[in-house]
Amino acid sequence: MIIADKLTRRFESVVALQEMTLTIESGEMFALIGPDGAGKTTFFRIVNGLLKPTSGTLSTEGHRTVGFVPQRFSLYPDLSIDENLALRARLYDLDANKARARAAELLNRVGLGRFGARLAGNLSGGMKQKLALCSALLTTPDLLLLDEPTTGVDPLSRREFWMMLHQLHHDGLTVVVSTPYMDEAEYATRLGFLHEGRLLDVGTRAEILNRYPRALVEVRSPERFAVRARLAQVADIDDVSLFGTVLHVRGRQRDSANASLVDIVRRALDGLVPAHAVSAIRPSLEDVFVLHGDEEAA
Amino acid sequence: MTPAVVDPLVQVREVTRKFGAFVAADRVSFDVPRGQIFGFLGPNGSGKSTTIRMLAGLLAPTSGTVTGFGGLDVAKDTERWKQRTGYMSQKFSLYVDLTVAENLRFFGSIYGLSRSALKDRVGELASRLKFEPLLSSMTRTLSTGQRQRVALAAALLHEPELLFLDEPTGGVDPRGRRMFWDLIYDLAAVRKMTVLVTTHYMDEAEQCDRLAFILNGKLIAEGEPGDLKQGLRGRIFEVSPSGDPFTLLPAAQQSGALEDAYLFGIRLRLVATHDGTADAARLADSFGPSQTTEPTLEDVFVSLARRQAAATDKVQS
Repeated sequence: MIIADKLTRRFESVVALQEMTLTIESGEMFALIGPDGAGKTTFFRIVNGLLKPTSGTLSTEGHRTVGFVPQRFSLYPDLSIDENLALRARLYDLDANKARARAAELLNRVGLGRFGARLAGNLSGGMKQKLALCSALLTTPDLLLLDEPTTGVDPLSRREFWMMLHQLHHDGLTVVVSTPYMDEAEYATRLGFLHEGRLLDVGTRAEILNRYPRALVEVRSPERFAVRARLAQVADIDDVSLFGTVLHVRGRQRDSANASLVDIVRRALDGLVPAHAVSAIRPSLEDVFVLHGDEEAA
Repeated sequence: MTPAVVDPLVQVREVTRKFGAFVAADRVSFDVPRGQIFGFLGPNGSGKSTTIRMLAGLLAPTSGTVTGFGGLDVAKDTERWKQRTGYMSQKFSLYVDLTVAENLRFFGSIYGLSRSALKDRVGELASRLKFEPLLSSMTRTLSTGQRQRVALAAALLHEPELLFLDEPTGGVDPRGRRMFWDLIYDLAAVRKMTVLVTTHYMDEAEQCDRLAFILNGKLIAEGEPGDLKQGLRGRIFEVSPSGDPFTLLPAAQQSGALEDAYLFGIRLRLVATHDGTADAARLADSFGPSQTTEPTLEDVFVSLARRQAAATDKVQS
């Protein structure tokens, strides 16, 4: 269990983390979400013992060892995979034979079994992340922290990486992960939205989506510019964002009894977009992310 | 493969680049259409950056030709080629100990822009790319999203016709990515610039007019996003199981009717084999409420990557 109580960390005038109060239960897979500079990395560094809080407390009750996969690849590029893991085993004073067996098992599990002699610096992005995961798991931690482990990783490697995290979580490991991919965040048992050091919202995916305070409409049209230009004139709308090939139109409030956003958008786009290409939708986590960012920026 | 682009801006023919024994790009041929957003997709280390750097005139091909702009050859007319192209690298390449304005003035002077032209241009780009308040900030204090917008401005200073963006949104948060893509879209649609971009985000790839998939240095598929999905249409089933979707995966992965099964968020997606759609539908129903769904570019990507990996294994064993 991780218990943060009014956890605060300042770097000179910058408040990286501001009175964060949060409990993460053992066995959870918790996702930490937020833009650049939100405080995610600071939180991980405090939990991992690399950084002391300025004020407030953090305890990791019941967790003996912590595994950490940092955002930047931090293994030695001029050592081989095997050498990197052997070095780590020695730093942690693990029994050499047991560590070798554990390393072999982990490497096999992530599909790196036949690359043991390859220099870490010569691995692709996806392989580096798998090695970083093996390195973090070498000490058999019961808490695993991952700071944006799949940033810059291609879709297939990303999927494989997440299958491993699932398995680990399934086997009982407590996992805390930050990610800019909202589909990854969906997997989490609970999510926390961080922004400029403050925890804005915590809950399960369903709780967070149910709290979404606005009406949302999807427009499917190739005429993106014309649609945007028209909707920019509508006072009830405060954002039009592209989601893949469709536009998400956000109302200033939830639908009221006398006006639904669908009708407003259909009317505004009359003659440009057929009515059936405009429909009410439920928010996704990405909509929540965009809204939090806009509210904080305002 | 016969490129199907009418009046392309750039033609890439049989381009190969070797680093020692390693073939980073292997007889790559394609056309870059004028005024469009052209997406380059592929796993890490597949040769995307190498190919882009050859197209930008930063790296000489071992063999093959890159021609365009009405008769220029990148190997012979390298300096003129560079005047007409802009390049934004995957790695942040501005000086962190200069201010934003100083960086842009420095890069502009390299391109030979006059002092007064540069001043106007920096002001215009700062306003268009929304970093005006940051002009006198030290570059090191910028967030990743802000840095990317400044780096984009640096690549646009000399008003190139063709812009190369190598993973411009890596590490940028969803809101920042959206803002960046609005800018790319504006460059192509409003300013008629041609953009060649690499990305690992499939929602971004969806916004490209045309895509090329690169695997192990080879271009293995190319076309409009809709056409690339054609082969998978009708074969993707999405299930919303009530329980933990992860526990259903082993059963799905053993089914001979499926080519692939994976989690997408909290849903399970099943990809049927060509003849397996009926069995796949039954299996999907047994897991929970299910429906067929439009393939995503991620499905296309994974399908191509798996096929290639299987082919490679066959050759090696």
